Amino acid sequence: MYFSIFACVSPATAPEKERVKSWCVGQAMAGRRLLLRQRGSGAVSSAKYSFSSSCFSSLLSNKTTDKRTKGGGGGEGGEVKKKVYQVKQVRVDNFAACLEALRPLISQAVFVAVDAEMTGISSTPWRNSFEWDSSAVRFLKLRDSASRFAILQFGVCPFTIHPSASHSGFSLLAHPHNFYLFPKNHPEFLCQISSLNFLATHHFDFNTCFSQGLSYLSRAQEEAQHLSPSANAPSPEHEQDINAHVDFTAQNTADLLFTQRIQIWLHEWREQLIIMTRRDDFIQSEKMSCKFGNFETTSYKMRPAVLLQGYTSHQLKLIRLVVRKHFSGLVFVRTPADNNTWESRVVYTHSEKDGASFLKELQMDLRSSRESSVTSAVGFRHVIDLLSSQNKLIVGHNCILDVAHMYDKFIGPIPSSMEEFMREVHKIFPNIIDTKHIMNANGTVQHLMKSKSTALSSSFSTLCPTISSGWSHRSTSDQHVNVQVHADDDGSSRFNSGAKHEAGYDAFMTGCVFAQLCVHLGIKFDQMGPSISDPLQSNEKLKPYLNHLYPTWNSGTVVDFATGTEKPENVVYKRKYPKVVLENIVLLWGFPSGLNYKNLKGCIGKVFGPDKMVSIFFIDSSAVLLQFKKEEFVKDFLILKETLERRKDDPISILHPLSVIFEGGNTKAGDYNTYKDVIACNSCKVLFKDQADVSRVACKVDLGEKEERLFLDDDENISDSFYKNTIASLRGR
Amino acid sequence: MSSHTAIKQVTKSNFTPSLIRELKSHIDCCDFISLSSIKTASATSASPWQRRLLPFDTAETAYLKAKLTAESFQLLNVSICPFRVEGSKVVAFPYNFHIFPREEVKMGLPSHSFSCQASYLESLAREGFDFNLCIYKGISYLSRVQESLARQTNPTPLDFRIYSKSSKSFADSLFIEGIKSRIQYWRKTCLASDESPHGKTSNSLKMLILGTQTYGKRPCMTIDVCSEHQVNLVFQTIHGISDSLVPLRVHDKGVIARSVQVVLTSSEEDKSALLSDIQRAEEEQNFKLRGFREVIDLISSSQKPIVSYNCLNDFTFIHEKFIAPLPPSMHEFACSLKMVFPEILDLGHLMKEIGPLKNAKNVSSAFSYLNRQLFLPIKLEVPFQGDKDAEKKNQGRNVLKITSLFAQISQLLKFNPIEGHTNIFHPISRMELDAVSHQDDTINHATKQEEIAKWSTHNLVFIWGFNSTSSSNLKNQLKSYHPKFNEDFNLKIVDRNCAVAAFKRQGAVVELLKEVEAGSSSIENMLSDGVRIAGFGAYKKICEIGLWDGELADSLQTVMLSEHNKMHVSVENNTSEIYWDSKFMLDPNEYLEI
Repeated sequence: MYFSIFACVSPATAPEKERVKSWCVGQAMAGRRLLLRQRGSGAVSSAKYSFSSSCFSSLLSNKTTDKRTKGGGGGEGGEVKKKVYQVKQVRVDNFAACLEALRPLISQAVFVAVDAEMTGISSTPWRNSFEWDSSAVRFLKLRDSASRFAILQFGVCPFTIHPSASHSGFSLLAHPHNFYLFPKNHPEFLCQISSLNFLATHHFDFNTCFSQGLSYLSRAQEEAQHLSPSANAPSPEHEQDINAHVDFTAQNTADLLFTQRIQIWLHEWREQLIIMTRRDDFIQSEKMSCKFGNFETTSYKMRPAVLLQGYTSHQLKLIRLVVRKHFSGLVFVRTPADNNTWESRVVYTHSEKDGASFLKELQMDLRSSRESSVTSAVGFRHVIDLLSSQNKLIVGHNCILDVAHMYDKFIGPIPSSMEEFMREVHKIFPNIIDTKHIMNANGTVQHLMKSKSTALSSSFSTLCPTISSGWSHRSTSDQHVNVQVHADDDGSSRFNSGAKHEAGYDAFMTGCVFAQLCVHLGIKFDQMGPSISDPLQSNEKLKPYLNHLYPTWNSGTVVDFATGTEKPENVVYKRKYPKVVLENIVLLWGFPSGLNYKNLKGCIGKVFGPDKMVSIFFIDSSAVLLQFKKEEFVKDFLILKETLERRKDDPISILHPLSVIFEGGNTKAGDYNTYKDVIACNSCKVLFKDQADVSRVACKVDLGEKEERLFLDDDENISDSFYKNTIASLRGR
Repeated sequence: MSSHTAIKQVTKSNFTPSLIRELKSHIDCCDFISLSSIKTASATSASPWQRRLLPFDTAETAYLKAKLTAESFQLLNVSICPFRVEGSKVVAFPYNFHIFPREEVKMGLPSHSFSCQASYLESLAREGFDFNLCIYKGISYLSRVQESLARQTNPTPLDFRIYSKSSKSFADSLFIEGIKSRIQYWRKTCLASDESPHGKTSNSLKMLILGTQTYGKRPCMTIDVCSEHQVNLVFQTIHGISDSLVPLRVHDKGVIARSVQVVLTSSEEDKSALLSDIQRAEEEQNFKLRGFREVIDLISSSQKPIVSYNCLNDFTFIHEKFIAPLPPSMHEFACSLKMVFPEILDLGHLMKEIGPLKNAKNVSSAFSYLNRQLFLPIKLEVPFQGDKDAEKKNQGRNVLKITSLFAQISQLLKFNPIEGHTNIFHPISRMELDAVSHQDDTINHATKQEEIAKWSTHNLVFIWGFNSTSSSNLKNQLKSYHPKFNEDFNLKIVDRNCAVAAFKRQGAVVELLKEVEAGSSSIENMLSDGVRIAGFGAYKKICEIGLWDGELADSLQTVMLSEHNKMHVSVENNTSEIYWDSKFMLDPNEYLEI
């Protein structure tokens, strides 16, 4: 059952809107199932999408910008009624069915939109994205984020092509799915408090997630599980080395008595079974429960058996021994049961041959159950594998963090360099589209957006006003994209009203935005057939944007996953700080608290001259990056620091202007590489200075002792003369 | 104890000053307060080395590990139960507080992020723990230190400091004269009461021109300032003009005031009404800021003894989240905590006094043992009215178990349980117990006494870089390296890559490490196989500097390299004693009590 909606580019005039709306309602009243519910929620409509749309920038600041945009541009989106679509909710209990249903959809899909909701973005405040970050530092921060935080929801929305219900040609059909995930196979994960609070304000259901979330195992983890010996642990007893137990004999009287009793019982049980089989009323014997002590006859794999309950493991060993020694037709089997326990049975077989075939059957059974247990642990990754194996066009909005998470969670640990990471990702997902990049790079689209926000939900309402607001439009202009939303006929309650910041709904919005962007690029879905001989990703008009991802909001660059390169984006990006020259940067941390911009600028200006420092950037309250005009000042600064520290009690050192910074003796300095090393360090300290101190211990090992006194040992004389010069210049003042 | 006992569930919506008053009255009428909590993690034997207690951990390293845990994880529930024992009756008032950090003020307070242990959250979810309630409606908090920080950066409207008057410059006098005439004229206009309709209109026009705003129902005007000094000048000037004017500072996010609002009050009573209004608003704001810490402060000020189980873990969390960041050493921690809570009693230590309870793994098992085996006529009485909501989600039952267990034990012991049992934070002293029979066949022990004998940390040596999988294999491997390993020693595998050997003979380790340090040829074979050894000092150092990332072997390697191999010999003189028990594997409920 479909319900179709037309998006149009030019916003309809108000009376038109009213007319369309009443038409819409009329259609629904006319007996169609109303799949698209309207909700008068102005607040939701204008709230800007901020969760994954702006990687790394703190949610807090985003929220404030939200408010601002709401205040400023409230007119357009604010009063418009919202169309709410229904998204299939997938949990542990309906996952298997959903996966099977999703398979054909994905293989037919023209493209698949994805989105993820994470437990956080930056593990510490200083791991937010800064303009001063080189691409290497940015990658380290990306990797840190992807490896520490967990995905709680993953939205997958395949878009297929179907004959249009309302006009000639074809239209897109969206199948939004929202998967609840829970990282059972990751021992620990991090949560950013602001992110959890943010999810809570959007009514995220944590209980469902933690109790009903799908587990997932990355390819690397699965491989490790197959290799580890514990994976083979649940093997049936008879496969194990039996000889080890042959020597085992009853040692004390109690054991002896017990074995004799068991032997008698088993004998009687077997005799009775044989009689019954001969009498040819075996079926009846199954129904009749013949009791011998604790034995109760049941059926196991079409054979009579007794389930051994209430025995200790020692007694079970004895029973096994008895069976092995005295009863050739009986087999002792131990099989894994629920809750990591074992079930032991004695099974009756007619003959040697039957016994052998029984064992074979059992082995097959166990192998398949073992495989299925690994398969269930793989869980949600099946969906990702599906996407990867079909080389589908994957569409995300500002999706580099999503891609990093997908790699870390479903493939394996992220490689150590950006180039390698891009290469590996490209192997697995060869066709990725970032809608944010298309919006930023395409002139036509930019003209349409009129410098409006490119955040997901606002671009959704700008580009697809009819989908987002729920009116359809009968005009058949070329500029329309026609999107229908698929719903199951079973009327299952698994459908939730799509809500913003629910991964499934965000994926749907992303797909709609992408479809509309394609129309602007001149790709016509309505002329595409349902059979896709010519996949979308090989379309020439899309080529320039394929695999180009937008790294972060403040880099001014775009990364090309196909070639593994980073290049400047066409858009002119306004920088807040002067151009960053990495070589000219000094990192300073552990200085006395309360040191501010003014103090720093003042005392460094006194030594190097007032205009020799280009800019100062506070990473947090405990660390700062200083950019000098020339590279040699970096070296001079570090030398001066060494010298001053060496002559600690020298009166000149105490009077030196820089002593303000070095007061307390805990101030440390380094160049940009030091900054990179600190970021790379795996610790997670709240303050940058603590992180830097921890990383120094680790660094020393890598670099050896030399690093410590690098600048002093270089040339002692230079440092001394520099020191004298500065002192002379001070005296001169 | 009936399963229907109501535990008062407290969330953001019912956390009010009146609830605090109620709790205070309950605390005042009680003798003890029991406490338990739920965190986002619980140590299991499968946890990595830095997350669980190892048999060779000293009090100091155990504290440092608890510190790491408290710093990385988060409290979700804290249950508080004031109670008194009246003969065979225990009167208890159990409260369960749902806690979640929220950024009520900016600056990333109370914290930025926290870790979760996936398996533990899953088991909590299975038991029906309501995460939505916790995250949506949990009470936020600020620690004492954080609050004073927040105060420094967010001065209250009435705050102002008196600077010396001598430092008035010419510009200052100009500024003062300017605002003085402005305020005086404005005040005059406000006070002028021309009742005629014409006068009213002109008056309101005048007011408009003068930029009059209203503060509540009172007229007020805003004076822009650009420094703290000017704020001070405005305050002084206003005091000089009239008593009916009340200056209030207005500030943005930062410390620096943006402007001063001058409110005109009609009378002395009106002024005091305004001031008390402001005070009340401020108190409300502070109550919201402190959040759950209000409860901690209440307990602290009552000075009542606190009963808890495994108090090192609970109180490292409480100290970290509600008092101040944890100090770097155990001793400082104990001192700092004593200032806040003078008497803390660990039920675990008390249980040692009762023979059959020595082996109890956790509160629940001890509790059910006592109920099964001994008839103790203890009746738990909870005078709360059971409300329907609480019946459904009765979280925080553990605190009631602690309460009745304590009552039962103190009745059994028939003495004042407080004496000699308070403020013991050594978690391993529990190891003085007789070891239970064990089936570890990799190590051959002569007697039970030996297993749990006291070992000096001088007798320990860490070994890594081997690729054996069992301790008996490794033992043979070591024997081939050096004759010292033919001596009697106890070997334990810590994890895949690291093992610890405890030598029986004093001095054996020092001799061995000295040989390694001197680069003796006798150990060449060992070194070329990649096997490395280090003394206990290296482990201690790791804990002290916090090299918690990665495996223990990696951290040992790192610390050895950075210390230029000087850490082979444990240099410290004050050697600690540990209770080495080869059986000792951490019980999940023992380290972080559920």
